[in-house]
Amino acid sequence: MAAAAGGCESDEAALVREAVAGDGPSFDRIVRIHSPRVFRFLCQMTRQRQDAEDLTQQTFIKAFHNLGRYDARRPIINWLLTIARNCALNHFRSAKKWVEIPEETASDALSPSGMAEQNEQTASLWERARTFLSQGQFEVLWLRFAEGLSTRETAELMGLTQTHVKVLIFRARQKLIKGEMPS
Amino acid sequence: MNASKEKRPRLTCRLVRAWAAIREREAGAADSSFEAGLPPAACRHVAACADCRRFFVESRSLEQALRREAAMGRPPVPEGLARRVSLAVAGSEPPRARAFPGLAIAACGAAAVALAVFVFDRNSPAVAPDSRAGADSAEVTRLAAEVATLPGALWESAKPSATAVWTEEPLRREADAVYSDARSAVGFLEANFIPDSGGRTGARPSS
Repeated sequence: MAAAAGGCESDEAALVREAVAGDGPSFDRIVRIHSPRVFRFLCQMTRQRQDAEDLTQQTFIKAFHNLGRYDARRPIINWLLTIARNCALNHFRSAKKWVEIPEETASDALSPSGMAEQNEQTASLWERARTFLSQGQFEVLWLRFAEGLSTRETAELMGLTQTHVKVLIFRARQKLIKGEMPS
Repeated sequence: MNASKEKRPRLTCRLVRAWAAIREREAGAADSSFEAGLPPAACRHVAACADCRRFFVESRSLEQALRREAAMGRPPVPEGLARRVSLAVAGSEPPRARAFPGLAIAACGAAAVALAVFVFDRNSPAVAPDSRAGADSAEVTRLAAEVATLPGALWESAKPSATAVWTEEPLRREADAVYSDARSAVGFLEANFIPDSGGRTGARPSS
């Protein structure tokens, strides 16, 4: 397992090296591997599929033109998520809003079954977390438990200290337990 | 007494929970126990406090539920997203290098220096370059002779006198008017309100 993971990492490092050297197909492979995860991350940030897709494109364009700055010691997905987060924040800053978009607009392109699934999700724990928590708390919680990043990686991605991340998680957990889990 | 007060955990409980959150172990925190990083005294508290034990259990189950729901409720990725992204990347242009702000500052400095040189050059007397010294010196001598022969009256008429400048200056005239008004006002006050030697003011009608 560890060997496989190590192999995966070395594959990724080789891909990045080739992409940095200007090999287009290598970057295309990086896009194929990581675009779904970047898209999903942006989906939860923007709650608009179209915006998420545009921002995914922006993310990879920025990554492509800044490959030289990539720190090969970090997993490339963390770097991509950092760029994606910054793109989303810029997007909200330019739109002058950080509003909750109604769910029906977020599911424009979904089939009826997808709509039903989406409606089910509105009652999910994450939807409640979105309602109860501050943006920072929600983001930390998402990165930590939905994206599966470590505390250190979450802190790096958000530009916070590890202690700050832990405090945000603690408060988020307390709020959710108090608000959503009747004793 | 007060339900919300009763519900609020005790200070010790809150401290222990916060401590556990900060000391939480990195790897597999959801599966490992929260109280793993706690000092012995806090562990003893957890062992004795049912509320804290319940809180840690709930925390653990909450995190597991968050992980589970995140895995289940992933939005579908649009068809051909990777292809569209690759096309967008291929068609993108590298961002323009941002102009170094020092260049703008240097350009402004150069412009300021040029302006200063220009102004200084205009105000300073013209100095003939060495190469033209011979040709210009004759002309200078001729002009000096002409200037010397200018009638003194003409020179005097062209030069405005200090008095004329003084009197023609509107601000000065305004100041003079204000001064004279102030003087008359003070004179009036002095004449009517300053008590005389008998203690009466000038404004009172003399009996």
